[in-house]
Amino acid sequence: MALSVTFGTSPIPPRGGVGLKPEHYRDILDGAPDIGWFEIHAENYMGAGGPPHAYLTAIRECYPISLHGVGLSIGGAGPLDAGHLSRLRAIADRYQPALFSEHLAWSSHDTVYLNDLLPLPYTQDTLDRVCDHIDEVQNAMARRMLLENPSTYIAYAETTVREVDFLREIVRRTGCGLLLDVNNVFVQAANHGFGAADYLDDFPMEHVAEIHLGGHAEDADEDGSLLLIDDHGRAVADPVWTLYQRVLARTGPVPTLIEWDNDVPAWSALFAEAKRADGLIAACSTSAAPELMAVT
Amino acid sequence: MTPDAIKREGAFAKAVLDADARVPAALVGRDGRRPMRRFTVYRNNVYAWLVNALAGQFPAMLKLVGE
Repeated sequence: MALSVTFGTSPIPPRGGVGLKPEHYRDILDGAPDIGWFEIHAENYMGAGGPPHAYLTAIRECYPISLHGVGLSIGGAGPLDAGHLSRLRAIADRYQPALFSEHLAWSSHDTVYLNDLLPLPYTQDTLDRVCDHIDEVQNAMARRMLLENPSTYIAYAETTVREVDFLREIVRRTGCGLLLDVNNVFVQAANHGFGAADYLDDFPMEHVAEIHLGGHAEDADEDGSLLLIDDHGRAVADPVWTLYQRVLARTGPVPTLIEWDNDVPAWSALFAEAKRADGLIAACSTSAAPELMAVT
Repeated sequence: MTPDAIKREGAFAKAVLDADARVPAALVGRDGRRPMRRFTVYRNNVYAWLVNALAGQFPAMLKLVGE
């Protein structure tokens, strides 16, 4: 198919961005808001044409975008889906995203697709397989990927490697970068009973090229223990903003995405969240002694 | 890939799709406690997606049978 538009490389600025939702297409095109960038879920643009591509093309003409995959199953036990990978590459060729990310999770088994980000045990065996998959992805996409830390509700008895060490070793072996989801750290800390600040203090911030912030829901398990659910269905919680500031103090300005995928709010509410991130990024760039240069 | 990993993943997938299935023994909750409620979060996510997908494909049927 001949493309009528080609995009240059538009770097993602170290500012707040938001996940692009169809509910906001018109607000963005009509209002031309002063926002740094948008992130798209790759799987929403795997159809050949229609309104999603028409709107995305118009938005891409005015803003940089980041490509975020949710269905590649990098943590899966079986081989990657070559068809899915080639569709992902086609989207990257079409829209020239400045960042590309996927998850440390699995979402399909054999031919069954489960549409959720499912956890894996952290062992030498799974480490080898995840690294092989990331090598394959980076070769197929002809670009570096960022790997996102997960939010999980259960753990595996067989796990022998700490998650932070698992991620650090993946980066060392594959050369990928990291997408740090601060809400996921908060959710996991509550669900598994560790300190979120301790986890973040141990996190290899020098490899973080993007940050995610999202909302979570509170629930309880059968023992009455707090169970946090990463539902992306509300505003970012205050303790997560506090942890985010702790991260920025080490990283300096980093592109930061607000994720709000369920009970999608009016554009103004989502935009305000991105502006809140902008304010904290601006504050950290004048006061912090960051460990790394701003990633752009 | 190893046969053990395939088997472990298959057991997880089966338990997610079958509401009557037991939680795989390989999984633990906080402090080693039973993770039934925690595992149900995954089950609910997958079921909600399947229900939404059906509702989107068959809107007339949804009107007839309700949610």
